[in-house]
Formats: sequence, C-alpha cells, structure tokens
Amino acid sequence: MRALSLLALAASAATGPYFVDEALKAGLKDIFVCGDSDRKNYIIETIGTGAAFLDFDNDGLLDIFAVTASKLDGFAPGAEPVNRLYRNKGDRTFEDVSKKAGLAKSGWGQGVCAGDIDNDGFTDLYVTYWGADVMYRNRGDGTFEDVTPPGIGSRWGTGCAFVDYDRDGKLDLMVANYVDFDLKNTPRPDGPKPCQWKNEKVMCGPQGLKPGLNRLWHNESGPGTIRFVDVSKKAGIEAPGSRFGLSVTTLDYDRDGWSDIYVAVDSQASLLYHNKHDGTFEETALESGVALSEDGREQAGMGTAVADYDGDGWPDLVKTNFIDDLPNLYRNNRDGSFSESTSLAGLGKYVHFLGWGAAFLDYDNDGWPDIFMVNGHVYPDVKSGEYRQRRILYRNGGAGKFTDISAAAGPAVMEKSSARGLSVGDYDNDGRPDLLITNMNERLSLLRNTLPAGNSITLKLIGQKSNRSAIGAAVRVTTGNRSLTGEVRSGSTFMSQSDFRLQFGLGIALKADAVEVQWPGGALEKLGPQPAGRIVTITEGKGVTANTPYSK
Amino acid sequence: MSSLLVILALAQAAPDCRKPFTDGLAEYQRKDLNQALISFRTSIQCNPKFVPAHLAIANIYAERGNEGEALAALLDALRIEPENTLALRAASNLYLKNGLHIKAQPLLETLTARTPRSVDAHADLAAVYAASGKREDAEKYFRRALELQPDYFPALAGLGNLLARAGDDAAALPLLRNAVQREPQSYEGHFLLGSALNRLGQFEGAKTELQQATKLGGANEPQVYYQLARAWGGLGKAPERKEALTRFSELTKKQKDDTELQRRAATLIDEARVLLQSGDLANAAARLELAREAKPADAALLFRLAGLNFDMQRINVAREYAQAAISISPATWLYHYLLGLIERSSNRLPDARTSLEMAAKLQPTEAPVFNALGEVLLQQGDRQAAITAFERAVKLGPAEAAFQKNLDAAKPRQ
Repeated sequence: MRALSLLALAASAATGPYFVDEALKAGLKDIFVCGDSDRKNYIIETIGTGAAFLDFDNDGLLDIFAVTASKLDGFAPGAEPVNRLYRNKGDRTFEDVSKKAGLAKSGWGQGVCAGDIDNDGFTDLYVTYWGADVMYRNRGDGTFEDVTPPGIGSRWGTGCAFVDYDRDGKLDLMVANYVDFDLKNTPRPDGPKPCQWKNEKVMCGPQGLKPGLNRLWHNESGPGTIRFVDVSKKAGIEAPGSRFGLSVTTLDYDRDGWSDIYVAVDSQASLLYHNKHDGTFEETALESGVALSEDGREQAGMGTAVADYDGDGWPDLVKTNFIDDLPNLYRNNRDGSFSESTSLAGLGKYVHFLGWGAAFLDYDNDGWPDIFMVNGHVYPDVKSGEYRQRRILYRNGGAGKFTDISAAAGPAVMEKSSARGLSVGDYDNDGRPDLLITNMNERLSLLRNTLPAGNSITLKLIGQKSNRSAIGAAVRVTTGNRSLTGEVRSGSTFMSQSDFRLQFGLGIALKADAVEVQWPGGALEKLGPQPAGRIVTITEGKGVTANTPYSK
Repeated sequence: MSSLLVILALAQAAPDCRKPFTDGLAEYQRKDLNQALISFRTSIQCNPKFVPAHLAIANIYAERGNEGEALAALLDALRIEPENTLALRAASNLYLKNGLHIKAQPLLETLTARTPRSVDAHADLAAVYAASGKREDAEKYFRRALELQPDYFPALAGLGNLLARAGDDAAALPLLRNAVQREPQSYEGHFLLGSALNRLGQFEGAKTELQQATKLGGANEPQVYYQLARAWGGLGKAPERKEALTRFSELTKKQKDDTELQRRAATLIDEARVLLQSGDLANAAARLELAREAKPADAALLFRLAGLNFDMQRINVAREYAQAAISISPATWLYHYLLGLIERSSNRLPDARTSLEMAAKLQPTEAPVFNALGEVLLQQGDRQAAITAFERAVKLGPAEAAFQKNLDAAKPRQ
C-alpha cells in the first residue's frame, strides 16, 4: 500500500502531456462518416460509430478496426466510405488492409464487438448496422468471411458483446437495438412537425419513436459451421419490453461465476440482466440500483465501463449520459446491489458534457483504475450546446475520489471533437494503456500514453475448455497487500471493443506476487509471482505459456 | 397572485373605460368570476393597452387552473409593459411550475434587475440556473437570496441541494438542516436532506428524513420512495427496500400513464384534424371524444367537438359540448357564437339571441356574429334591432355580399 501511495504521489506530480494524438503519424487519416456534418435531420445521423482494438493476425500487436456509417443523400458510386481494418506494423504505424481482409464494406455501420466465435484461435467480429448486422469469421489468413446468421433481420443495431452466458465454452452474442427507425415517418426539423430542444428545432427522437428490442443469440456452431439461434424470448431478454438500448457491457456483478449483462438505455431505465444459471436472465436493474439516476429519474444512458475502482474486489460500473445530467458511478455493494457514488467520488462536477464512450484504464499504473470519457453534442447547429466537446480524464486518487486532470494530461485530451466511440489498448506494447477515439465525420484520434510512470503487467488469457478469447475470465493480481481485479470482456464503452488483454498497474512493485484466474468454464487457476514489465500469456490449464517483455 | 387585486384596485383606467374595470373588480370580489372576466375583457376592448385588465384576466384564469389562458394574458401584459414586475413574476411562476426553465430565465433576469431586493426572484433565478447546469450562477443567486433573507427556505434548500450534488456535503448539510428547521412541515426539505444523507452513507438519518417526507405530502412523489429504498438498502433492510421500490414503481407508472394519456390525446387530435380535412366528420368526432377522456377540461377540444357535432346535425350533443366549453372559458366569444348558431338551428331563438349578444359583447369586431344576431332578431320579429345588427355586420365585413343582402331584405320596402 505504501509503495503504491508513493507512486500515486509521484504520478500526480508528473508533468504532462500524458497522452499525445499520434493518429496522423500512425497513418490513420480516413474520415469516418455519420450523416451530414452540419445538420442532423434524423436521429440516425447522431450516434456516430465505434472502433475496436484487436489482434486479428495474432502477431502480438493490436490492430484497429473502425466502423463508418454514411450520409442519407449518399455518395457517388465508388466514393462510399467503408469500414477499415488497419494492421499494426509494429513501429507505431498502421497499414490499411481492409480490402484484402474483406472488411471494406459500406453501409450504415454503427458498432463493433469481437470474440473468437469458433474457438479457432483467431478473433472474429460482429458489426452492427442500421440495416442488417454482419458477423465476420476470421479465416486466420488475414481475411474474413461473412457468416451472418440467418434471421438477423433489418434493425438498428448499436452496442454488442460476445459472452458465454451458459458456460458451454462457446461465445454467444448480445446485441442492443436502439430505435425501430422509420425514416419515412419520422419528422424532420425543417418539416411541419419539428421537434424542439431548448426552443430550437432539432431532429426527433428517441422519445416519441418506437424503441428497439435487445437480442441474445446462442452459439450453436459445430465443426465447420457457424450457427447462432435467437434465444431472446426464451432467455428473458425480451421480458422488460422494447428499450432504446445503446451500449452492452458484460460483468459478473455478483461474482457467482456467471456473466450478467448491462445495457445502457437512452431516455428510459437501463437494464441489468442477472444470469440465473439456467440459460435465462432476470432483469434486476431497478432492484440493483443501476436503472436510474440517484434521484430515481430515467436518464439518457450512452456508454458504460466496468472496473473495481475502489479496490474491494467487486466490479463497479460507470455510465455516461446526455447533457444537463451527470454521469453515473455505481459502486458495488457486494450484495447484488449498487450505490450511486457519482457526487461523492467527484464525478458530479459537470453537466454540460454529453458523454459517449467511457472506459476505466490505469493510465499511470498506480493500481487504481482511472476514468476516461469522450463527449460531443448530437446537434451540430444549435446555440444551446457545444457540438465539439473536450474529453475528460479523471484520476483515481485511491480513496474512491476522482479528480479531473484533463488539462495536465495534455492537448490531445483537451482537444474538442464530437466524439463517440472509445477503445482502450496498449497498441505499442509499452505497458501503458493507449486510447482510440472515433469522432463524428472526422478521422480517428489515437492517444498514445507517454507518461513515464509505474510498472505494470499485462495478461493475455487463452481459453481451452472455456471460450478461446477467455471472455468472462476474472483475474486477481496480488501485489503487496493489495488485490487488483479485472475481467476479460467484449463490447463495452460505446459501440466499441477494447483490448482483451488485462493490464494491471503495479506502482513501483517489480512483480505481481500472485495471479489467480477464474476461467469462465469454472476452473480456478493459481499462479506464482510474475515479473512486472512483461506481457504474460496464460493458457487455461497450462499456466504461463509465453512471456514477452514490453517494448521500449 | 392574491395580492394582485390590491394593486389592480388602485389602477387608473382611462375615464371611459373605468366602469367595466371597476365592475369587474366588484364582480371578482363577489366571486362572480365569469361576469368579472367579461367586464375585464370589455375594459380591454375599450383600451387594449390597459395592463391591469390583462393582469386581472390572468389572475382569474390562474385561479381556475387554466394556465394557458393565464399565461397568454400575462404575455399580452408584457408586450405592453416588458418590465412590469407583476407580470414578470406571475409569468415566470407559471413557466417554472410547468418546468419551462428556459422560458422563465429571461423573465427572471429582468425581474431581478428590476427588483434587486426580491428574495424569491433571486432564488427562482438560481433554481433556473441550477436546472440548466449553470452551477456558478446558481450558487451566486442563491447566496444573494440568502443575503437578502438568511432564513429563506427555497434558497437554503436550493443551495444545499446544489452543494450536495457537487459533493460538497460539509457545506450542504448545515444549509439543508437549517431549511428543515425553517419549514419543518415542507416535505421538500426533508426529502433533500434525506437524499444528501443517503449520498453520505448516513442511512439511518436519511431514512428518518425520508419517512417524514412521505408524511408531509411526499407520499405521491416517486423520488421520495426511491431515496427511501436507497436508505433501507444501506441499512440492510431488504423487505423494506423492496416495499419502497414497489411504491416507487407504482407512482412512476402512474405518472407515465398520465403522460402517455396526454400524448395519446394529442395524437388523436392530430388524427381528427386529418379526418376532418378529408370530410370524415364521424370518425373525426370519434377521435376527439376519445381525446376528451384524457383532457376533460380542455375548452378548445370541447369547442371542436361541439362544432363537429353541429356539422353532423347532432344538435343536443353539440349544445352540451358548447356549454361545457363555455363553463371552462366563459370569456371566449367563439364558444358563445357557436352556441348561438346551435340554438338558432334548433329554433331556440331566445337562447340563441342571448348567446349571440354575449359573443358580440365579447368580440365587437366580428361581422358574422352580428349577421347571425340580425337573423335571429329578425326571426323574433325585432326588425329594428335586426337592421342595426346587419348594419354593423356590413360595416365590419363590407366585402361579404350576404350581409348586405340580409340588410336589404330586413329594411322595409319603400
């Protein structure tokens, strides 16, 4: 504890910038589109798109997949924006391999989540659309094939997450659908029945439009075949009725070893699906205290993230919301319920941000998860709100209190954009978490962490009996008298996918004293001391199977 | 607005217009609100810029709960005198009551500038700033209100709540405790204090305050039960927590149902409009009747129903709707005019005459009203009065050939 505290002091005194936007230097120049830049006539143009950090070619380097939507008045043939896959070249630059990989698809793309659906060791993708979502199987040779299950239908998919909810070793899929959107019958701001926000004519929705229905797909793939079956009704996912669902986060909030699912919902109560261990879920958000604001109001939930911010070993939850509202920080009470700790924890300072992607990351490797949020308004042309807003980095002071240190973190954090998606991952393998941000009708932001602070250890988990991506695995790292916990997850933040690898800040400690992995299949694996400064691969039932030092 | 009449009584109307205004005040004091409204309207017809009459009309509508009409009258007053403090105060109150903080804000900004020692104006402006996220401005105006009156409950509660939400509980709690001491019978103070104690994890104290809030008028406020559930949860009392959450859900559902009912009514009215345009009167009326279930006291809706049923020759139904509309909004000339037409069509000439004369009195510039009145008077055999009415109709609507034709027919042949 003393060592970590000393490090915390050192980190708080460190001079910035802590993050530098290296997107252009890295070759990430493409523009990702979502509707018109200057005017939003329909809600479909407002929620932006997501992105993923994933290692699609298993070379140990995080690659980037970014989704694009389109414009309602379209593009000239051949000029349509397409989803992009950028391969990490290992020198902090990327090359566009979208076409070669078979992922350069146009359409109204929205979100992305990743997971190894066929347990072949290569990470597959699911991309949500306004239209029909697409499931891509990674062939393992740098290319992907469309294996979209029949019956996906045409919806407005937003957030998604792979999760092995029945612990059969195969990844299932949860998808949030936002609005049952009907372009022809939705009023425009310049039409006869415009909607208003603060006395200005704006696009309509989601209130007044028909909400979508969340879907749960059970993986029934066999050798050589990919098959997913819609079990939403049977599993209780449909029970709460339709909702304006946006982001999907999986977490084992009651630590019973079975993955639960949280869906951040816009303008209605958010949803927490508690896993009943029998293939069904019970919606318990209200009882658990994560449905509403601390005043009992419905909020416009956007992005979500999970981490044990107070170090008690239980996963806590953060959620971003619309402007004129606070985010939520829900502290796990360890009894199946949460307490809202937003103001108490120092997140009650701003209501003028419209939040989207949210993530926990230990940017200074002091062992306490910090929070990063990206913001931006939905209306580019109103006087009452700033369309482009800065990002926020909250530093976790270690006593359940966060401080906004964005200014010290540098211009890349203070830069204003209308941001949406957010992914966390160490793309240069230097032991410090970096950030990938999607911006409305702009290029990506790639915030490289340059803070020379703290030791860390990165764990890459490979399931054997469990799903190969180890999604749902819970890890406990002990160092000194502290236990740090983490869980491998798909989806989360806002329509985006972060690195599957778990990074633990160790402060000035030179090693983790012990590592415990609770595999999603149920097995508990205990490992001895592991040195800091390394990426440690743990294979289920085999212990450490690789150990690579961080890059310099 | 109860103090309004004292000021109104002192108001000086132009000499010619004084009588209807003073008549209106007397009628108001006799609680004859319908007649008072008519007198105040007559006063405005005499002098449209006579602000006290607009304020008096707003006062009566506000007392009757017809906030739309009250606000319209206040905005009329503000168009004439943009810095009229009574109108600013009353209009901003109505906006605040309906959650229209953005509309209240400029009025309150003008009001605080005009009345720098008004405690309530400062506190209200602070509340508006707080609601729109202007935390620093809110704090400044709450503090100003407390400088003016250190024990002013809304400012104590508002500032306490503001600071508690910002996590400054050390500063918030004394303010909230002081607020509760000042107004121990206000559920709001107990609710805010209980909520702040919840945030601090002081669940026993929170529970006590929130239970008190439920006894003092907070029993129908879902948020009180949500906070109470938080307190019970913090105390580890699962059954009590569940019970509070159940009550919260019930109250929330009721609020949502009410909102949905209003939304549904608005949709039905829109649908009726479309059906009406396509000539499908029966279905349009059916939609409006469904809408009426959600808005039983909406005079405009009742008027539309009266008109539709009249068009379909359902005279008795039309009459009932028109009378209902008039009972809610007795100073609206159009409703009297329609009732006059309905009565005339069923040959109830004395009733028709009464209604049309009232419409003419309320709106002496509508040619069709005088033409209809002339027709009724002629049917009653009062030829001279009919000629006078037709002459007025022709004067007001010289382009309408039917009026002239009626006048020519009424005049004795030479």
